[in-house]
Amino acid sequence: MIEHPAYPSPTAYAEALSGFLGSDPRVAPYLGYRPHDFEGGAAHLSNLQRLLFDEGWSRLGWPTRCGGLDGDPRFRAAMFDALWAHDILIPEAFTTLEILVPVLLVYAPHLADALLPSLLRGDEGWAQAFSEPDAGSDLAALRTRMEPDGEGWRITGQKVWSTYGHLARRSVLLARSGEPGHRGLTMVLLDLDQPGVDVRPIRAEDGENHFSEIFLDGAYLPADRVIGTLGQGWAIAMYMLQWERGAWGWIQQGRFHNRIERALEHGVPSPAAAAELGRAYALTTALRLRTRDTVNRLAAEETLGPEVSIDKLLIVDAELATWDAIRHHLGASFELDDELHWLRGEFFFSRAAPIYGGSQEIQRMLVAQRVLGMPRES
Amino acid sequence: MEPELLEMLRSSLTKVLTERSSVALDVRLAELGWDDVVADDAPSALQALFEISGGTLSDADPLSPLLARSLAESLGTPELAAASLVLPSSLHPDELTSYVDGTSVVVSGVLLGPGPGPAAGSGLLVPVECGEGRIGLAHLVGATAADLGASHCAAVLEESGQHPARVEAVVAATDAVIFDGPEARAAWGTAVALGRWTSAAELIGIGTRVLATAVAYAGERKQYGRAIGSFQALQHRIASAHTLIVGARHIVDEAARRRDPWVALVAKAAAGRAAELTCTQAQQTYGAIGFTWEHEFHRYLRRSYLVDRRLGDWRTLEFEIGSRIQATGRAPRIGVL
Ligand SMILES: Cc1cc2nc3c(=O)[nH]c(=O)nc-3n(C[C@H](O)[C@H](O)[C@H](O)COP(=O)(O)OP(=O)(O)OC[C@H]3O[C@@H](n4cnc5c(N)ncnc54)[C@H](O)[C@@H]3O)c2cc1C
Repeated sequence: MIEHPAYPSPTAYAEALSGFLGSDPRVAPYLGYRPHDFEGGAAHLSNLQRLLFDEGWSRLGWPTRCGGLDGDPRFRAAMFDALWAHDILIPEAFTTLEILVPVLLVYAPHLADALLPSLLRGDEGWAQAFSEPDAGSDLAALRTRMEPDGEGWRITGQKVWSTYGHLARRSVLLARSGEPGHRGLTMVLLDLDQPGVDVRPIRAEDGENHFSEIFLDGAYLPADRVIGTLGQGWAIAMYMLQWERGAWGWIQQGRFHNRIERALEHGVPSPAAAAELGRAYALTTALRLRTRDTVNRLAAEETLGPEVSIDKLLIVDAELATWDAIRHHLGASFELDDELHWLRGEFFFSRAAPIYGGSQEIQRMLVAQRVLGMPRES
Repeated sequence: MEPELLEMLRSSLTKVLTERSSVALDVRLAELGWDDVVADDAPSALQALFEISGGTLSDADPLSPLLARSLAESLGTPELAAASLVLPSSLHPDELTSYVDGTSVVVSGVLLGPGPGPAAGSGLLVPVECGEGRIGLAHLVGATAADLGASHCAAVLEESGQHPARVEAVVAATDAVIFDGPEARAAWGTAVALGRWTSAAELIGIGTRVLATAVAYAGERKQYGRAIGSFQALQHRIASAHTLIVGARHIVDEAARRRDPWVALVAKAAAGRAAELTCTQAQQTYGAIGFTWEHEFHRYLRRSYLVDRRLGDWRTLEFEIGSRIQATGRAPRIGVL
């Protein structure tokens, strides 16, 4: 654990941050903010990201060499908790940071030093482009190729479901540099604002352009944009997962707690919905305590294994239960009340919980085989 | 507690909880140096005790003495510590089934057991409604379970290692010492929280054992020329149960350390549901063999039902949690970073 000289504990930091959020007039536009669309929300919240960076709050928990102020990942988790407690939406970009930055710090320090400060500040956004039309759960089947071109590389293929893709300046991307299977994969950081890259938003079930497809036709990748070494892509993707599960789970439990409270400000509580609400809360509490443990283990620099799939499964249980309970609670106003557009949108997004970030089926298989040691199909 | 120390403790506890003995559990625990262990790290010690109690179907009853001691401490009345506790039998744990009615104490509840009872002459301790929703405690000083006609419950519970006895009796109020001030309510609240999180630990012990046994069986049993554990349908059942157990266990860990009634309530609800769903998945994994009387499975199933009922079953508690969230509009965040 790395303590921070200014704050004896993440809790002390969260209290100080809460003071700022509750009193600084510059925070007002974000309190209880409900975006009307994905792009508008992203633009508005990137201003919040800049404010939190310039005031130093979001720099805690990241190393100084990439624009941070030191302290371990618990400080980032504490920031998310404080933001939700003030009914402030977490910018999508913060989630991306949680997933991509730890990877760059370890596998591409030169890129981390050069590019992360502007990423942390929200001056630019990044995306993650792994999935392809024919490579979803079976990610190692992906076909996007990278071929040598002088000092650098040319990338050709198609990516899909890339969250934030159409708003991103760059993307971390998994491509095939060698043999079939997971050994032939390499991770890179590709600029999206160049010829040979065509990014098209895809409208999702909630009506928003959450993700994009990316068409790559000989897009150029300079040699120094390879993350790790050639053929190391799969191993790096696995390293990424341990950060992704815990951080995303922690962010989501904050959302669920907040949304349960917000939903109760509308509609009439009914005994019929009480038990469902109780279960949703218990599952959300399990998620909170589980991911707190995961964040603590990461802060202690432990290496996490297949057990992070349990974090993902707990997200699914809590996310579905919470939004089912909220819809039940709201009754007909769920469909009829215009004012509740944002709760409706988040509800529809929750239907993706068993799919995104590795489906529920795949996670259950991993838990059965890798955590509990059940036999693999022969 | 250091992991090695905890491991040693767990193996001594397993021995104590499974050995046949006519000596009271309290006495045997004392020989282990239990009081020192508890003084050193009560959460880990109690959690281990109850998890193992459930996981081994032990027929000792660590709960009643624990709660009697807690009540005695809260009320500053040491003689209560050795009394036998009559738990309320109602579905709703906050509605007491025993009450004080003018000149009598009407007792209706459950004695856990069966082991050698507490020292004769220590009486029975009964949480009672004292009118207008006031919660009190009646100490039936000279009474024994036999005096009150305690009768063991139906055969459905046998083999679970637990033999709760039902008590239905009317006792003259003059034969009781009644505590009915606010401190009695607070004492009972503390005891309920303690009883809930330790019972939640017991449910985790049951679920963990049932799951491990099912995983082992799925690795051995072959059909269609392969281990049934390689079928995805069963893997998914088992993984979903494991997820619930792990999640619930995190809440029990927190409840053990926090001693907060709300956290204990949530822990018991989560553990009860996890244990029940785990039993469902394990039952299916076993096929017909698990449906036999000879197989150990039904003993764990019965035990899980009994422990779940104690101080509130999970469905009732989920309703209770949801109702309180509705009433306050708040979903408290449990656990700080
Ligand atoms: C909201 C959202 C955001 C996303 N963001 C990103 C992103 O930023 N970057 C990115 O790269 N990707 C992203 N994804 C893609 C995501 O990772 C994939 O959707 C996921 O891996 C599943 O792949 P698929 O959709 O192709 O489904 P498929 O793999 O086709 O699966 C369809 C169904 O088949 C089941 N199935 C598949 N294989 C098996 C098996 N072996 N055993 C049992 N069942 C199986 C699955 O569980 C699922 O139910 C996102 C997806 C969503 C929904």
